[in-house]
Amino acid sequence: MATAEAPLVHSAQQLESGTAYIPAGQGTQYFGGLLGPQHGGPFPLSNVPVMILPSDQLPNPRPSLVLFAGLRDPKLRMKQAIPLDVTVEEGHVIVNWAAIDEFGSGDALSTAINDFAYALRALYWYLAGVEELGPDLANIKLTLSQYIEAR
Amino acid sequence: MPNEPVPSVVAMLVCDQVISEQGTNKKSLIGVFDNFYSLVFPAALPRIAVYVKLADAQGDYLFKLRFVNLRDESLVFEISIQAKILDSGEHSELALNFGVPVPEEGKYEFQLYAGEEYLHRVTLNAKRAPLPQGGMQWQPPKLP
Repeated sequence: MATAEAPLVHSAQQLESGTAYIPAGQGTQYFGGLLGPQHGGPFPLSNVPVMILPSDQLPNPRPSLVLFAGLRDPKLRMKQAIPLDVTVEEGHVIVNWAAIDEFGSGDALSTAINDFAYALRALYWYLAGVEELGPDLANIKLTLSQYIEAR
Repeated sequence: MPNEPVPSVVAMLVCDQVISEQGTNKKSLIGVFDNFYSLVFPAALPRIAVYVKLADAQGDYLFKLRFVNLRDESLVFEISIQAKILDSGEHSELALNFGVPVPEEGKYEFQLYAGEEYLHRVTLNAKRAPLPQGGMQWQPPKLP
């Protein structure tokens, strides 16, 4: 019977920005715009430190508190991570931002976070489009502005 | 890390290998996939790569890539990557080529954290392959 082994990192790299083409005259190694030989090995050398955490030192993947930073809206930027309380109710994971009482739910932590992100994006853009808000919604908008800003 | 800007994930993909072209630094993601078949479990996926493109990041970060079994959200392993990102005005990219153990069939996720901040996830389905006709001898791949 096969056994699952520990993960093995072949290479970990922080990469340089790509360039569409190399202009002629930037060095003879590029043969006037054509690239020279590439590295021959199967994997490049790592250029950033990497650590594999052994299984007996792994943290709880479904903690009671998660710092949310996965908004995923190209027009928005997160100023700071949002603390989410994590609970499980009737087999569903629920993440809740107590400050504005906004929540998301799902079968797993990540699906609950995705649901929360969707609701948060919708709430942000709704509030951004309304000129006059009542005191409750104005407070929510103020709280949101401490965590999220438009690009 | 606590005072660094919160990174935004522009792209995160799982593939066979990430190749960075010398000279242009252009990246090629070879063999983007979502599903993994094995005749037996536990199994090993000896070659897998995760590519991440980030925006807004600047400073010192400890990124954590967590491989989670979605059946019970148990953590299979975690890989930490230290990176110093100089300019938030430019996208930054990470590539990790590695091999992973897959304890059982089912759904898995790679979850990316910056420190303790959840950024993104990609899913991977581990499926049992049908037995070949004729009882062919087969050995599961092993991590090198």
